[in-house]
Amino acid sequence: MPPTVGVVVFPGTNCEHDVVHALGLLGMRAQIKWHGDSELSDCDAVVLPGGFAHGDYLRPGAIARFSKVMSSIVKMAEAGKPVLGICNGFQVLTEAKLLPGALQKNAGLRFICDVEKLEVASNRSVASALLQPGEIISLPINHFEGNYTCDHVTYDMLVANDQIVFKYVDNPNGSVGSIAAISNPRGNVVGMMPHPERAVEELVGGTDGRKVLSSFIEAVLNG
Amino acid sequence: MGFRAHRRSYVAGYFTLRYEAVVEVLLKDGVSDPEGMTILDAVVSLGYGSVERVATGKLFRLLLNADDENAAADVVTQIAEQLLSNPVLEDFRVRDLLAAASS
Repeated sequence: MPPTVGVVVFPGTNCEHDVVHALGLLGMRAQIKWHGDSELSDCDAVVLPGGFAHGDYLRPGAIARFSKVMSSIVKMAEAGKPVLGICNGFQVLTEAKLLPGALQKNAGLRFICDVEKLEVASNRSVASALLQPGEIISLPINHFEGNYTCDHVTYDMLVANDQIVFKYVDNPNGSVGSIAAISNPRGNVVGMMPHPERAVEELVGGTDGRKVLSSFIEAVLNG
Repeated sequence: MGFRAHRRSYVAGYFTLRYEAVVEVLLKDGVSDPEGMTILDAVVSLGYGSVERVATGKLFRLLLNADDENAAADVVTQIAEQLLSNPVLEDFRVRDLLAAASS
């Protein structure tokens, strides 16, 4: 079977079709997987797309963490397979402790829907391998709780381990260190608030998302 | 921990006590609380300039069956740690509920 990316759907997820479309556009087979009954053994990588899993009840990602599929995702992360959480997916990965820190309400207490300039901080991750550190890309953001928060010890660790993947050029939401995306120490698990899948066609405002998703696909193919 | 025991109930073949607990979850000191700051602005505009700070949080009321107060406290603390609060952002406190429930 050709390499396949599982795209996990929780109740309230709403970006799964965009992710499948964007990956397909770049030649990668993607399959939607229901959170409650899915085994991911037929997948080589996984994407947790954006939305409002379980209505964001309690905290974004807090309930999704207990879904059946999460144990498979943890196994894939530990095995070094590419795991990408976008927006709400990033929140799920922090709640599941696959990534450190947490996403807090935006500093300005506004839902932000805009295109942001991002600086590539590291190309050591599965979401940035085809980019150059210092390169500036533009991706849309669309969130109310995207204010990345962690303590000083964690922040120093992120810097020391080169785990900061993207930084906002003009911090829109109050994130510590202008962080827009981080990875685990190994670089195979990435969480990002911006939406690469919404920037894959000129017609709808840019194609910088292709560089991010192509990096991910390359990691899947080389995995 | 001062849980209030309500009445004995029959669960799984033996009598246990029914407890009610309230878990309070508040943002840690030093974590920004934009909602609290916005509410503070409104409080001050309302004419209460003496108020210095508003902190927002969540409150959960749990009804559970347990053998005794310590067992109830253990269970509630575990739930608060694992689910109700996120240790990166929040602190929690288990406190008793004053109103008696009947069911």
